[in-house]
Formats: sequence, C-alpha cells, structure tokens
Amino acid sequence: MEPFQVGSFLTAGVLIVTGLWALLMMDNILKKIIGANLIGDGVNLVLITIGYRPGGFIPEVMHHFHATATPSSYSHLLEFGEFASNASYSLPFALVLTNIVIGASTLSVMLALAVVLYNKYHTLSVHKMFEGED
Amino acid sequence: MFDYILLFAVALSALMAIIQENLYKSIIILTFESFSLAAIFHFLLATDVAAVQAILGAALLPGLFIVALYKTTQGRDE
Amino acid sequence: MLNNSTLIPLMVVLPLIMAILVNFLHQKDKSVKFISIVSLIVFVFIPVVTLYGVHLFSGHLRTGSFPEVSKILIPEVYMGIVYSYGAVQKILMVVLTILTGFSVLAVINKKMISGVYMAMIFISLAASSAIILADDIFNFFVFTEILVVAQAALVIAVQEAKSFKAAFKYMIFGTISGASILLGIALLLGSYGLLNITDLSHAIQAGGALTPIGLVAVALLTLGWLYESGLFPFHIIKSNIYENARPEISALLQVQSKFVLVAMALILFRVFSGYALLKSVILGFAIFTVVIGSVMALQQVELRKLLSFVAVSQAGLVAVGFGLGTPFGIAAGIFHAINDVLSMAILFFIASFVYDKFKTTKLDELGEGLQVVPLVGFVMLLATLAISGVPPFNSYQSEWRLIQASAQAGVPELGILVILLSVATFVAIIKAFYMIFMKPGSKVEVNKEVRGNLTKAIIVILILACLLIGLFPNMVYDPIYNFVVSLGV
Repeated sequence: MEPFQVGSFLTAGVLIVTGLWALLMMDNILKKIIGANLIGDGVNLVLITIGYRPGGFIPEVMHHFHATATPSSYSHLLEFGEFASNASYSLPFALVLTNIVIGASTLSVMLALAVVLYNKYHTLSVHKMFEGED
Repeated sequence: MFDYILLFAVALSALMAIIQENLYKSIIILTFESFSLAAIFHFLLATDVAAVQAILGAALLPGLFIVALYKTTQGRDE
Repeated sequence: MLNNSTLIPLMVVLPLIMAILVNFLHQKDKSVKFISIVSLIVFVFIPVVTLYGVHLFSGHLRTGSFPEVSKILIPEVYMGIVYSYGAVQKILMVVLTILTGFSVLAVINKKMISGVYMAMIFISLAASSAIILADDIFNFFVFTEILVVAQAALVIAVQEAKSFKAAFKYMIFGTISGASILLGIALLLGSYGLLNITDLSHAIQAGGALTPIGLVAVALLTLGWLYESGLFPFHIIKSNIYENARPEISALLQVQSKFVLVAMALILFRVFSGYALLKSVILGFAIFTVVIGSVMALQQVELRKLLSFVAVSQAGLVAVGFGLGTPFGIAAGIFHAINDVLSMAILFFIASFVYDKFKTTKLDELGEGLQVVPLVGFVMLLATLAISGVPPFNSYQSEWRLIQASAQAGVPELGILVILLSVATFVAIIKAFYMIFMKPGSKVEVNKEVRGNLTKAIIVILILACLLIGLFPNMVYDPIYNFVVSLGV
C-alpha cells in the first residue's frame, strides 16, 4: 500500500467514527442526519481507495486500450494485459456511484421525517421527542 | 502534497461540522467536506465518481439541508 | 448447467415497473385498484411457472479470470450479476407473493388505496424478491437499502407521531447496518476481487483459512444481518415497526423481514462455510432474541405490540435453526420461517379486523367478542394452536424437526428452549384471545358497518394452508432439505 492509500483509509476511519458518534450520541436530529451522511462518505472513500492503483491511469479514458488488434494506427494503444495491469480497478467506482445515489435518497427521506417530527413536537431535540415513551 | 492536505481538510471539516453549534455554519462546513471529498476521488483516479460527488455534495445536499433547516427553525437559532 | 431463464428477473422488474406506474396515477383510485389486482395475479403466477435455473444479466457467461493479472484464486468467474432460482427461492417467492396479494386486497378493501402507498408495497415486494434471488452480494446490498426505505415509508403512511418516530429510528439504524454491510462487501472485494456469492465461497475455500480482513468482514456482515432480520440488539426497533404500521401491512413486513433473514443467512453460510465460530455467534444472538422476545410478549397488554414481540421471538427461532449449522438445522429453520410467516399473518389480519370492528386493540377494553364474531374467534384459537406448535398444524412439524436437529447437533438443551418458546407463545396469545373474545364486560362499541368478509376469507384460507402443510409436511420440507444439502454448507 502506498502512503496516500494509508492516509485515505485513516481519513475514512475518522469519517465513519465521527459519523457514528454523531448518529448515536448527538441530541439534535439534524446533527444525526449529518452523521449518517458522514458514515456514507467514509464507506465510499474506503471503496474508492480499494480501487486505486498507485501510478495507474483512469480506466474510463478509453484511448488507452484497444481490445483486439494492434495495427500501426493503434500503436500508441495498450494490449489488454498491459491495460489490465496498469488501470485502476473500476468496479468499486461503479459500486460507489450506486451508493451515493442510495445515500442521497435515504438522506432526503430522513430530512423530510425530521421536518414532520419538528412540526409535531416543535423541537429538534431527539431526547425531548422520545420523552415519555415506554 | 495537496492531496494530503485535502485528506486532512476532510477529516477536520467532518469533526467541525459535528462540533459546530450553529446549524447553518455546520451545513456550510459539510458542503466543504463533500467538495474536498470529490477532489480526493479525483486524485484516487475515480473521475466519474468525483463528478457525481461534486454535484451531489455541493448542490443537492446543502440545498436539502437548508430547506429542512428553514422548515424547522424558520431561520432563527434554537 | 441450469437453464438461463428470462422469467427470473421479471419477478423483480415487473413490481418495480408497476410501482413506477401506479406512483403516477394520482387520485385515480379505480385504475390503481384494477392495475394492482391484475399485476398481483401476474406476480403470483410468475414464480409458479418459472423453472429452476440462473439468469445471467446481459448474457455475460462464466469466463477465465486472468490469474496472472488479477490474482483471483479461482480459474473461472461470473462477469455479470447473476440471479439464481432454486427450490427454496421458489417456495419463498410463492409464499411472499401470495401474502403480498392478501395484504394488498385488505388495503383495497379498506378504501385506503392511493397510488403512492401501492407503489411502496410493490417496491418492497420487488426488493425482497431481489434479496431472495440475488446471487450477487452488491445487488443484495442495494435492495436491502431500498427495502429499508420502502418499509419506513409504509410505516410513515400511518401519519401518527409514534409511527414517524418508529420510522426515524428504523432509518437511523438502517444507515448503520447499511454502512456495515457495504464495508463488509468492500473488504471482501478488496481481498478476493469478487462479488458473486458462488465464486466468493469457492475463492474463500481455495484460499484456506480466513484472513484477519475476512474476519472483520464476517463481523460487519453479521451485524447487518442482525439488523435486517430484527434479531437481538435490534429487536426493539423491528417490533416498533410492526407495531406502528397498519396491522395488515405488518403481516407483510414480518414476511419480508423473515425471508430476508433466511436469504442473508444462506449467503453468510455459503460464503463463510469454513468458519465455525459464525454458527456459535448466530446461535447466541438467536437464543437472546428468543428469550427476550417471548418475555416481552408475555408482558404486553396491547394486541399489536404483543404480536410484534411474538413475531420477533419466532424470527429468533428461525435463526436458532441456522445457528445449529447442520443441513438438518438449516432446513428446519427455513421450514419454520415459512410456517411461522403463515400463522403470524393470520394473527396480524385478525388484529386488523379487531381494530376495524372495535376501534381499539387495547386488551383491557375489549371483551365478549365471541358473540359478535364467532368465526374470527374460532380461527384465532386455531392460529394460536398453529403458531405454538400443536399438531396437526404446520409449526408442529418444523419445531419437531428443530428439536430433532438440535439433538443431532449435540445440543439437546436447545430442544427445551424450543418447547419453552412454544409454551410462552401459547400463553401470550391465548391471553389475548381470552381478553378479546371471552372476557365479560366489554367497554367498546361494535362497529356494525364493518363486515370484514374479505378478512374472514383470507384468514380461513391461511389456516387451511397451515393445516395442509401440517398434514403433508414433506411436500414443502423435502425440496428445502435437498436444496440445503446441494449447497453443501
């Protein structure tokens, strides 16, 4: 692992721990939702860091790679094996795209719930909302 | 070097967003965090994810938060 | 090689398409009603006619894995998402679609129909079908997240403060469990480079002992599993959800979460089949759930709450079957999940009927119901017998198999636990039965307009199904057992 990968794993760890702390310990309902967002960001960062290859190139930029032949006009392109051993791993990136969208939709539902709960209880404090429940 | 600074900025702004008392400020810090995260994604060779994260983190997410905050506290502090 | 069937993904795709369609039909209740009934007939029909097989999305066949470049431990891998459809999936899908159909009929009958509400039911159906079918661990994760949102939306639709709070708690913990499942998947992807469950299990077996990263992945996925299926640390959240949804929707929610339990436990066992400690951990959480759930159920004085805790404790019993870890135990656990889902659905439909007829489900206020609705009382008595494992009903067959499996696995003490749970369930529900139907001095007014003919028909059909499975258990159990043996867990 490269130092930058280690650093970004550590950052992801900080994000997840901060998010968990906010989600479980903080009283303000919006802070809880911010915490949920931070957890999602942390997990996304872990996935992206897994796909990173130090010194590699971006696989989506297709002029690096031609699948079949290497005629003279394609001489600047890479063979498949060389491409596969130099490009970064793009499967986690696809997973992260999905997760970002899911996270955004979950977040908007939670924010809507927070608004509705505020209208019922006229407070943002979760402690006061859940007071008097058995 | 810039990428390490970005990593540090993300971690620090996440902590700041949680600790900050004023919710408006906390949302602005959160936007900064999302945007720096998009830059980190770019440094980690995931440009497509970086684009999506930049749009969501810098436009949609703070927008949703600001609407929710306005609907709950009507723009004044608790 | 099994046949590549195009009907398999339709079980997920069609409900999603119908959900999008009815979502746009705002305030056109008649067309929503028509579309829902027609599409439900189709949904029940598809799993019955589909042959066993796999579906390879976009036709990506199994191809070589380029071991010199990719460092993947097995020579051939699936390149795309795969859905597999075997005996267990068929039985689960048929039960799921039929019970969804009953819930939708009950919702339509109560004139509470709206396009968005129906869309949420369809999305939750699609998500739970995908969870049952998916042979791809990331696809599974995506649909668990969708299921959490759809279930929360169904609870939010009740529009009471309590239901908002229950849904909010459910989503908060859903975020944590979703993150932990995705982290587990990320660690597996990072160390084995695979997402397909069949390939992952082969690769982990080829790699020998589980690496420390693999251990962390097991822990994270197990945490997610505990949340999704409402086991011990999360039992309060799950029972809160059951309790605050409308009872006929709770009948649907408990089916979904029990089948998600089965599907995800099968995934865990297939991927980490060589890891012995997993079984003990699952067994520990399952026993906690059974004990705490039944104790909580005994204390309740409100019908819906009581049924929620009974549902949670029965989910624990299903997990006990998995915790035994032998093919016998796992097959008995899956069989119990199917039996329990049927009898639990009857009880929730009865709760829905009681709520409509007497406008309350508080047991103190109810009474003398047997003179008003003798048929429902009689069916509730039968359902009580069914759920607490009295012959000739279905749960007797599965609980007896669970006891046998626990004796075979060398822990006959668990048999006592199963019997104690049956007794506790029986006592809790028979108390509710007495207080609703027999107790003198009713304090409620009977709503004469509510006939509930549809609910009566549904509960009679379901109790007949319970009786049928109880009389011919091998019809359901043998395919399950053969399937579990073929998995080789």
